[in-house]
Amino acid sequence: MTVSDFSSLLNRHMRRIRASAAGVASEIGMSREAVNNWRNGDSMPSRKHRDRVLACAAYLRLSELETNELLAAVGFEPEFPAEHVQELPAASAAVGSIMDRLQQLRPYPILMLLTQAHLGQPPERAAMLAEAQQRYGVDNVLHLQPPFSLHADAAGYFSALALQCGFAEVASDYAFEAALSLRLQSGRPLFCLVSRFEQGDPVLRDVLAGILRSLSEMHSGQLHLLICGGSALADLKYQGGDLSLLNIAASESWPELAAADVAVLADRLGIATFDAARILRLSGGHPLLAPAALALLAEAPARSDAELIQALATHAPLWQSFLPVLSDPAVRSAIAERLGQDRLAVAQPYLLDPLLRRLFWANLVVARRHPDGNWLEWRCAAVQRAGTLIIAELDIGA
Amino acid sequence: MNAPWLARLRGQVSWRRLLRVLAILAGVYVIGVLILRLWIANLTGFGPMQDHETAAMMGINWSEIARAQSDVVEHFEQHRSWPENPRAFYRLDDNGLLRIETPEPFVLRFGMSRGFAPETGLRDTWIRTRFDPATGRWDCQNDTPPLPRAWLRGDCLPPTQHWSPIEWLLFALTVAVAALILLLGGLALLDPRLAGLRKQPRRLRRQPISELPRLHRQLGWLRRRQSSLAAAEIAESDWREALSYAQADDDARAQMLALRVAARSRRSPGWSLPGQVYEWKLPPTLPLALDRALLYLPAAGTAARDLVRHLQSLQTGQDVLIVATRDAATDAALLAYASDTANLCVCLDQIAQCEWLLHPSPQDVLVAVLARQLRITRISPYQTRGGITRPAAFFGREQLLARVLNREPGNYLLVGGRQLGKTSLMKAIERRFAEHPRVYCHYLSLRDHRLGARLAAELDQPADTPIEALVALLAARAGQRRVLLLIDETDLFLREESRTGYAQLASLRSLSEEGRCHFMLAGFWDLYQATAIDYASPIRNFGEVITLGALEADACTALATEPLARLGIKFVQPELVQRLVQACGQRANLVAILCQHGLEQLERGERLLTEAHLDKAMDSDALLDALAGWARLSPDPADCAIDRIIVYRIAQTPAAPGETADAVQAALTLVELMQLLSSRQIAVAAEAVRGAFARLQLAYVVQRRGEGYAFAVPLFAAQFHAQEVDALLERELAALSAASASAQTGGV
Repeated sequence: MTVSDFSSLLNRHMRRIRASAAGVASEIGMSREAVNNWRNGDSMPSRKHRDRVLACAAYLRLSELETNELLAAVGFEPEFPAEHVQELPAASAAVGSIMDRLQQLRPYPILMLLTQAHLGQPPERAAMLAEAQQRYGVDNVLHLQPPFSLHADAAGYFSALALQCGFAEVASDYAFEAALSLRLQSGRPLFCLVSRFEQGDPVLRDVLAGILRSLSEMHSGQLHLLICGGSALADLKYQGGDLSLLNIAASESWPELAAADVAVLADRLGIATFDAARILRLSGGHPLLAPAALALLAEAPARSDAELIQALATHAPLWQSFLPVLSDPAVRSAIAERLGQDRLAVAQPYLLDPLLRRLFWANLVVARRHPDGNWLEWRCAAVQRAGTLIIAELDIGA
Repeated sequence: MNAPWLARLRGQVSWRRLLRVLAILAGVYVIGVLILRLWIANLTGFGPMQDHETAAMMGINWSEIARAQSDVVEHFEQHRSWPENPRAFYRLDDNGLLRIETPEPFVLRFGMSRGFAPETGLRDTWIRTRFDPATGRWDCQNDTPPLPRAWLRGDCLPPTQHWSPIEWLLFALTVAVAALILLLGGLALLDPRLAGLRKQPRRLRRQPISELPRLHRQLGWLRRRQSSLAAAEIAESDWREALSYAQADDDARAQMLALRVAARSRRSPGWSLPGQVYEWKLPPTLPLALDRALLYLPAAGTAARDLVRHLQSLQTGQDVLIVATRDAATDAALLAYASDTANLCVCLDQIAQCEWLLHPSPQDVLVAVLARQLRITRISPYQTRGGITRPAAFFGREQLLARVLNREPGNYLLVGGRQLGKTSLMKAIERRFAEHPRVYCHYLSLRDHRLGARLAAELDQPADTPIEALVALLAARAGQRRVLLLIDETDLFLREESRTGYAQLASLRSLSEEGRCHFMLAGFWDLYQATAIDYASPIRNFGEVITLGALEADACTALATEPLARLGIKFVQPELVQRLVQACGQRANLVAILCQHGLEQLERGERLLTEAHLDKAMDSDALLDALAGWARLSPDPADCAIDRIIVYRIAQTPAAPGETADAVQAALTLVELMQLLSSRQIAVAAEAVRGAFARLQLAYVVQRRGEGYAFAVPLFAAQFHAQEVDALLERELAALSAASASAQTGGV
C-alpha cells in the first residue's frame, strides 16, 4: 500500500458520510491539520497511531472488511479476521448452540455474546445471520449496528437504526420503538443481532437498551436479542448497573479453537501437512497466532518448539495487543511478576481484577478448565515470551 | 354409480359393520334351520328321506302295520285269544313288502321284505310291537336286525330320543346362554386389556385411542362401563368426547386436543407436509417455558417412513412440532424419530392421545410427553432471569401480596436489590387484579427517566401529553374501577426528579390525594434514598414502603421441588433441598439457577438429582454470573469503592476449618471497618459507611448478623479466591487512600 492508497480510501469513506476533517479530528483526538495531511497524501499515520486509525474507521462507520483495508493501507495488521468463505467447524456448532441457548432463555431471550480481541463482534457474523434466517425466516431477522459517533444526535442515531431495520420516517427514539413494536405484533418471533453495542454515544446507547428492554417486556418471548461485544459490553453489564436490559441478559463466550478448526485454517492457507495438536499448543488457540504458527511450520517444518515460540513472540499483532497494556510502569512491574506463573487467578464470568480483565479481553490470557476448577492462564508460551521481550524493550527505553 | 343415496349410505354404513351384520344373520339362519329341521323331524317322526320310492314303500308298510294292529285287536276282542298265525286276522297285500309274525301273545313282529333295495338298509329288518290290553295301546321298538334309525317312526325310537320341541328350544337356549357366559367370562378373564383394567383401572386412560369404541362396547357387555370410568377417574363427558375423537375431522381433532390444555388453536397454512398443521398458543398456566407450539395431524394413509422423511426435512423455526399420529402403524417410527432430543418434534401416539383426552389433568400429560421427547432445557420450568411471567413459576410472597390485594388501593414503594423479585411481585399483583371488579391495574416499565413520555407511548398519545391527561385516559379505560399504576424501574426517573425538583412526583402525589389514581413505584437505591435519606423528597410518606428481601424458606423449598416433580424429577435426599436453599440465602433466582443447572446435567432418562449435581451447579458459571454485578450499586463511584472494600473485607474472613464454600462467614462490624479505613489514613464519613452497609443490605449482598454484617448469600463467598481478595482489597484501599490524600491536599 502507498500513501495515495490510504488517502484515497480515507477521502472516499469521509465523502460517503459527509464527514469533515474537523469532525474526524475531534473524534479521534488528532489535530485537523494532521487529518488534512492524511487526506492530501502529505503524511501517513505513524506506527503508534493504530488506535487512532481504528477510531477513525469506527467514526466513519466502516465495515470489518473496510476497517481491515484502511489499516492495511497504513501497514497495520487487520483488526478483524478475514471474511471466511468456509466457516470453522467449531463456529458452526457454536452458532447452533447460541441459537438454541436463546430459546432456553424465554420469556426473555436476551443473550450477550462476549468475545475476546481478534475474534470479531460477532464472530462468523454471516453464518450467524444465515442460521437465524433459516430458523426465524428471512423477514424476521434484523441486524442492528448502532452508529459509532460519540456526538450523534438522537434523530440521526435512531434514523440510522431504522434504516437498518427497513423502517421509514423515524426521527426519534419513540418513533423507532413504535415501529419496532409494530413489527413485533406479527406474532412471529423476531431475531435481532446487535453488534458493537457498547460503542457510540453512551446516552443514546442507554436509550436503545431501554427500548429493547421495554419491547422484550411488552412482547414477551417475541424479541430474540443477541448482543455482541467485548470488554466494554461486559463492563456495561457487570459494572453499569442501570441497564436493565443487560441485567436480565445471559452471557455466552465464543468457543476456543479446536483441531478441526486448525485443519480448516491450514486448508485456507494451502498447507497440507500439519500437526494440529502442536499448533494449538504453541498458539494457545489464539485466532491470529494459530495461522501464524501454521505458516511458520509450513515454511520450515524442522523448527523446534523453542524456535517457534520465539518467532511467534515477535508476531506484530501480539505486540499490538500487549504494548498498550504495558505502557504504564506500575502495570509493567505487576505483569512482570506474573509472567512466570502458570495460573493467574480463578476464572470467573467477570474478573474483579482490572489488570487481569484487560489482559483477558486483549486475548492474552484465557480461562481453562481443570479438575480443580476454571483458571486463568497465559494463552501460550509465546505470549509470555512476548511480554518479557516487550517489558525489556520498554525498560531499556525508559 | 354415484347416486346420492349411495353416497349417503356409504357415509352412514361402514363395510366392517355391514359384514358383521351379515355374519350374524347367516349364523342365525344356520342355527335356526338346524333347530327347525330337528323339530319338524320330531313332529313327523321321519328322519331324512333317502329317496322318494323307498319313502313311498315305507309309507305303505307303516299303513299296513297300522291296519294289522287294528285287525289283531279286533280279532282278540272277538275271540279273547291272541292268534298264533297272522293269517287268522290279516290278509297280506300282494305287493309283498311286509312280513308279519306273532311270536308270542300280544306281540306282533313286522319284517321289511326283500322288495326294498339293499342300499336302503331296510331289507330283512324287523320291528316289534306289543299290545297292552289294559290300556289298549301299542308299544313299538326296533328288533333284530333293526330298521335304520332314519326310517323309524317317532313312537318306535328309544325313549331318550323323544325330545319335545319345547325341550329342543330350551336346550338351544341353554347352550346359547352358556356360550354367552363362557364368551363374556373368557373376555373378562382372558382378554389381557380387560383383565389389566380390572387390576389397574387407570390403565383405561392409556389405551390406543382407536380402540376406545371397542372397549366401550366390551365394558357395556360386562356392565362395567360406569364403574370402570369411576375407578379410572374419567368424566363421562370426557369419555364421550374421546369416543367421538376417532371419527372427527382434522379441525375438530385439533380443537379437542387444544381445548384440553387450554391452548388457542388456529390453522397454519403453507406447510409442505401431507396433512394439516395448526398453530397453538399455549396458556401461561402451563408450568413450562413454552408459549407456542405447532400441532401436525398427518393425512390418512401416509406411510411412517414418508412421514419421518417429511419431518426430517422440515424447518419449524424455533417451534416445537407435536405430531398426533393417525393410526398405530406409524407410532413406532414417529416415536423413534421424536425420541431424538436433538430435534423439536414430539410424537403424540395413539395412547398419548387417549390419555390427553381422558386424564383429569391434561396439562400434566402434555408436560410428561414434552419432558420425555425434548431436551429438558428447551422447556425447563425454571425462569432464571427477569420478572416471572408464568403463574406456575411464581412462589411465595403471599403476605406481601395480601398486603396489597386485600386492601383498598393505596400507594406503595417497593424497594429491593436487582433480581430479588420486584418485577415478579408486580406482575403477580397485575395478574391477581386482572378482571377485578373494582380495581384496574396497569403495569408500566420505565426505560429511562421519562415517565410521562413512556406512559404516553403506552397509551398511544403524543409524548408531551401531561401526566394528568394520561391518568384521565387510564381512568376512562378503567370505567368505574379505581386505577392502580405499577411503575417499575423508577431509579433513573427518581434520580432525574431529584435533580429537577420533583415536579412529576408532585403530580403523582396530587393525583393520588385526589383519589384519581394510586401508584406502586419499584426501584432500588434511588428510590431508597428518596424515601429514607432525602428529606426534601415529596415521596416521603407518599406510600407504604415494602422492602423486598429473601423469599420465604417454604416457598424456596417449593420452588426447588415442585417444578421438578412435574417433570418426574426429584432430589435424591430431602436434605439436599435444604442445603440448596440455605446456600442460596433464600434468593429465588439463585434457587432457580441451581435447579436449572441440575436439570441440564441430567442424562436422558435420569430422574434423580444427587449431591454431585448440586455441587457442580454451585460451581457453575451461571451461578457465578448471577452473583457478579454487585460492584456498582450506586451511581457515585466513591460509594461503590466503599461497597467493594466492605465486600472484600468480609470475603477475607476465613471460613471455619472443614466448612464448604457455601459456609457462613464471620460478621464485619461498622467499627471494624472504620478502624481499617483510619489505619490507612482514609477519611470517610461514618454516614457514607453506614450508607454503604445499607445499600449492600438492600441489595441483599450482606445482612445483619449480631453486631456486624455477613454475606446474605453463603454462596457469595465462592467468587473470591483467598490470595486474590487480599490483592483486591489492598488495591481498593490504596486507591481510596490516594483519593483521600488528594482531597485533603486540595482542601488545604
